Amino acid sequence: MEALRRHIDADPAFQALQKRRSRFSWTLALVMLGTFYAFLFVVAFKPELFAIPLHENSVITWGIVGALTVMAMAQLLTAIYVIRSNREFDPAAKSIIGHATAATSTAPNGQ
Amino acid sequence: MAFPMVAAASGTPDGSVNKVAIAMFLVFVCITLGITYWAAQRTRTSQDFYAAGRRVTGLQNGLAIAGDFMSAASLLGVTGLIFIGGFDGLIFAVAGIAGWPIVMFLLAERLRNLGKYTFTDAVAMRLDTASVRVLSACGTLIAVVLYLIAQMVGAGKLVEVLFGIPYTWAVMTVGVLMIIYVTFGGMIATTWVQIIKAMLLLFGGTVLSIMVMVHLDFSVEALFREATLVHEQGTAIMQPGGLFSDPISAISLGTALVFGTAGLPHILMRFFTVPDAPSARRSVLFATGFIGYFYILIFVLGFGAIVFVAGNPNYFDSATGKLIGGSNMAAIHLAQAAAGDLFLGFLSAVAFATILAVVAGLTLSGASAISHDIYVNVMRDGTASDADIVRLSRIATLVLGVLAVALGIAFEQQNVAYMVALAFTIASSVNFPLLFLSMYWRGLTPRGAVIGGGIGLVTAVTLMVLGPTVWVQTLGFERAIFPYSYPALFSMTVSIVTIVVVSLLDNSAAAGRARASFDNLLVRAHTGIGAEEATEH
Repeated sequence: MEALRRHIDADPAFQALQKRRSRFSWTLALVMLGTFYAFLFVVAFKPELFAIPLHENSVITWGIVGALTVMAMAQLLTAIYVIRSNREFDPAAKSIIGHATAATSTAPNGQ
Repeated sequence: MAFPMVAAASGTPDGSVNKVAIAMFLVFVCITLGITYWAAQRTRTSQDFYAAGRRVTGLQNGLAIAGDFMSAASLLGVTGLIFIGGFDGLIFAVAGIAGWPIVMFLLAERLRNLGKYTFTDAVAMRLDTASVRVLSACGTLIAVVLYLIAQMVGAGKLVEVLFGIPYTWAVMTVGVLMIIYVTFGGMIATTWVQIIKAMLLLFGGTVLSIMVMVHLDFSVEALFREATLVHEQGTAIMQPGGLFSDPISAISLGTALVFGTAGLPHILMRFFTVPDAPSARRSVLFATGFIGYFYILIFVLGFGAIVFVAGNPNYFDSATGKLIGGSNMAAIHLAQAAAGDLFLGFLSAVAFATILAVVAGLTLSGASAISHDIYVNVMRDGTASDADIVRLSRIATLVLGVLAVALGIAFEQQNVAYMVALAFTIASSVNFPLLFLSMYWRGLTPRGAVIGGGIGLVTAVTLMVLGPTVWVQTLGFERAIFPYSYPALFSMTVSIVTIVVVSLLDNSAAAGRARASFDNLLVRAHTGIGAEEATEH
């Protein structure tokens, strides 16, 4: 197990995957937090923006639209994350583990 | 009689209990006790007790997580807040959903790969000292107990109004049932109780929303228009209003809700019940979907309650002019107004079941902190036998259950919404920083974690006590020493900054080991090599 772990740690493919995955996660997290805090800052500092109706015959305000946007954004970003993880990251991790397992079982020193 | 709750609320003891609600609740209890019996046969090892043998599927776990999060505070509390203030109540729904993507992107999969039964395990992977585990377990226990008190008091009040049963009896019923579920059925029973309740809740919410929208020809515009015509604040309910006295409180509460969600121990614990990290990811996908859908229902129910209940004098106490049973009853009154007495009974039973399921999850999480984090890993250095662990877990469950009942009775008159806010504040100021930094920052050291997390905990509690809600409203002082009701923005910042500064200054040998083991953590976090595996069955 330790040899396997060291082999993976030294594998450039693993380091590349790890960086790509982190960047992706952080981007999505920051987009989500950005959307949420944008909503929250309007509520806190510019509530009058959210009081404007969509059009003159409607009682629905931009505030309602803002609330629904944050909620929709949460679903959308989650879906994007799951699709890319399933299509790209899971197979990549599997192949890295596969190579490392093969390499460490034929060469016990794990070089 | 037409309005059984009216009689129950005014406290007439002469058999004016809500029979439909009690019958439906008894059916729920019988089914869940059957499940507990079934689960008890399958609960042999500590892995069964705490992690349901890691054989829960992503969909099942997603429902259970959603169930944990869709507490009575959301169903009744947020509907009530929308009923009172319209848009302001929606802010809670928005913040409630916004935390989930963060859990998904940053925590869920890593947590599953690194931990065993509790999030403390994941923190201790790199920072394996007694003091780190004790602090993290304290963060768990304090958040759990506060949340438990809030649920217990909520249950007592609700049952008093809905079922016509005295407060103390209601709290004891919840306590006894919850102890039975958890001690005998462990995580397997707790998960299935939560799944059933989540499905009942989503079903009930959907039916009621459809009933509301049928009256309005499924026009969203009509729903909001009717609401503005009935509500005393008129069109002001469609915009941010006076719920938050100042901008800082609004931002601070939003911060507590988002990052507190990512630090709630009973929810984090559920990630260990699935077989692997991809299943953990699927769990959050389903949970986010269900929770999002639930809050859309709450949207409709909240404004629906304004349309159906706010203009109907039958639902208001003629002497005080207040909504009977308080604003938390808005959803329940709506059930009767829009869907009739039978549905009222159904929704009342679902509300009670909701509380029961959430308390069971909380108690299991608290028991894991006592027996797994503190007893096994700190006092016994990880050497206790599995039978010992399971036995001690059951004792811890019993103790927590009795404590929850006692505190529920003692805190009857307290502001429970504030206790939930306090639980989220602790979770965002202690649990989340510890977990997040341990998994993402190489520089974190045991000393930084203990001192920073400890200061975060003390800051959160102190600022809440010195703030307007406790210092002025509960303790009766004239002016609050700390001006804001929700201190998470400050306590979370203090916690993270202290952790970082102390870690950077830490040159001890333990600090060096913690930094050196970060590469190990990354490999395990990304590949699952060395992660806990499911038991064969």
